[in-house]
Amino acid sequence: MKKAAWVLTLYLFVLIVCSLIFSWLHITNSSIPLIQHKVFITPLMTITIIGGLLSLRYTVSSASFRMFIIAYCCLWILRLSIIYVGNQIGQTTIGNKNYNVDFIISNYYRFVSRLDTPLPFIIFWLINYIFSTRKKDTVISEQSPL
Amino acid sequence: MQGLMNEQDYKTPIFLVKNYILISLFNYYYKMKLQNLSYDIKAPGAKKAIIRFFISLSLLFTAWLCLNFFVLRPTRVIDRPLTNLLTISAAKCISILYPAIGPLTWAENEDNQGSHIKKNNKRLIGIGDMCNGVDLMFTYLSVIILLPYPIKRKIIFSIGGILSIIIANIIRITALYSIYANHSRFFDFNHHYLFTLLMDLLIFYGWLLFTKKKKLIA
Repeated sequence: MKKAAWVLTLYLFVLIVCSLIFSWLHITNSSIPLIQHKVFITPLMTITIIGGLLSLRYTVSSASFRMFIIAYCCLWILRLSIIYVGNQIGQTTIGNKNYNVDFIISNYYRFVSRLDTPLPFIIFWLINYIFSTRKKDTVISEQSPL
Repeated sequence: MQGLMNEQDYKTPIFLVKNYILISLFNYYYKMKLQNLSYDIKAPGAKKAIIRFFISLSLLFTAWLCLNFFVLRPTRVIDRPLTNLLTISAAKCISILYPAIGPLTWAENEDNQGSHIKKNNKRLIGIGDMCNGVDLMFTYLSVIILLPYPIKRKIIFSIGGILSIIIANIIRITALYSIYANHSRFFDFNHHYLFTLLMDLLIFYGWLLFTKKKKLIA
């Protein structure tokens, strides 16, 4: 656990250093807008995703990593599709109230899902570690011959 | 016959030490082998547990979205006291750190979306409801709630985690004010990236502490 925790801490520190360098060099303004400015691909987001994938590669098994990649790609596709659909719907009326569906959905993804932050990588590693350890504890107590 | 040992040989210290080393090596090898197996998601039960966890997490997030946008945000049940607490505390911290600035006051925004710190009725820095860290607290709590650990530990870490996030947020607002006052061009970036990463680091260590050296409930 120690080694993996160090890898993930290093990953977060690399992101902090990168954010400082980008801030210093003013690279932050160069973002690519998607779906009518509802999603932005920033340089730091690219580093977050690449760094996260690299650190997971070194901290989880290849089967777990494969599972994460599939889930992560699906979530991104789902995210972009839902934002696109929400953007198409725009404003809708439920009862007597008007709701901006596009605004609600884009805010949800910005503040709750956090796919573009290091959290998905950290949470996946943590959950994978916890449930694998439980497996290990059970297997050792049941099978150790000595 | 040569090569076979007498009953006496079993009691010699050399035999006992040799036996002890062999058993230890075998034990070590066996544990290492199991350890390698344990990290394989193909192990029965692990994959199912992980998938179940993430489905529950997604459902919890969706429930939170609905509750937040349709009930909590419009009524400001959580946002108002939390944003006001952050504003008052940050104003106190800024006064302590920068005594030359003079007495600071605070007020709620006219649009009812947050609060701001004032000096002589002039707005210094605003704290919106979006920046009070409720979403981060919810992310932290969701993982803790869903993990199969004892309830007592969950309660302790939930309260401790929320307090830590609030304290870190007060420090963050004070630091952001300092950046805004001295290096305003770095404000936006620090606000959106650097401090977000530091908050992520904080909750990561919160989770690590929560899962450290404690057995799961079967």
